[in-house]
Amino acid sequence: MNEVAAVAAVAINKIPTVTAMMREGARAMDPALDAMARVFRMDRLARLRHVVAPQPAPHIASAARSGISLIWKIVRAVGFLGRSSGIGFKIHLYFQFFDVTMVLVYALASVAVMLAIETLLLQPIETRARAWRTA
Amino acid sequence: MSVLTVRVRRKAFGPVVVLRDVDFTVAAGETPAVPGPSGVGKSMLLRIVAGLDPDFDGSVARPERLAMVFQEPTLLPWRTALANLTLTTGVDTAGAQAALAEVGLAGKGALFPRQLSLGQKRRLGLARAFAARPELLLMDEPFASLDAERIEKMLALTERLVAAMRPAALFVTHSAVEAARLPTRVLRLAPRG
Repeated sequence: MNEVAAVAAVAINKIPTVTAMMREGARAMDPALDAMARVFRMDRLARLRHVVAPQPAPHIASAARSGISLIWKIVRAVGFLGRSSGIGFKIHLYFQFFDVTMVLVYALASVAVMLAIETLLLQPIETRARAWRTA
Repeated sequence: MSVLTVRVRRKAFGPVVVLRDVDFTVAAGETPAVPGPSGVGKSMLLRIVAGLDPDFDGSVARPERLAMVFQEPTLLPWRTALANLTLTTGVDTAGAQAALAEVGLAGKGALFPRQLSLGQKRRLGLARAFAARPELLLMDEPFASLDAERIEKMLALTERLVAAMRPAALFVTHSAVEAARLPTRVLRLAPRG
């Protein structure tokens, strides 16, 4: 499996769900806020940043988090099944050698990286975006 | 001299005519009220005047600087009270704090709208409208869903601010009491026959 096929596999799996979540976010937009921004003559950039973008932000955050978790899984599966490099490939390789220690090393290291990204990057962004809800 | 000139020949949704032959002007310092029951077209008229609904037969000449107090407070829930003023009206922080103090919300600038009571949110909406220093102020049932005591306080506050800034103002209400209190004259929309 070449690079293009691997990327395509991830994209085909994830684009429909992200699109659906983003569509729900767009549907939840409040037309009254748009009217308010137009009456007060807010410029386009300010309207986009302060009125439009914050409304689907929770949907974008959810799509990003679920998207990344699914992408991790698909990338591992792609590596497992059809690549000659990567963590998925290594797990598959050591599995064939019955080397459970190395399987666990790669699997747990992979989980640690995922959790670090979740804890250090995604959660702080989401917490900041939701600060007004929990104030 | 007129700040606002409205000539609406016809506004319809398909076969349903909502407004027909509505002509009036409003001068600086004037506060005409548009009273009437629900469904008579008051809010639609206000949307047309505000430029939110350009799909009508007629013309509206309005000033560039206008502000509106909505039926619901219509605040940015993800921005603080202070930011709600600065971001929407372009007023600086000192001006926004003065506007908050003017409506009795001094010291509440750091709070988010959800941390304010309904009455405070409505006062914030009023502060936003006046912070914009509008030539034309539109008020769409701004005291709806408030109790009598709060309506009285809001009316007094609005009276004071209108008297101080003297914008041309259009005041839509379904309340006869409010229509008798604030306005300098009354514009009646005749119900559709």
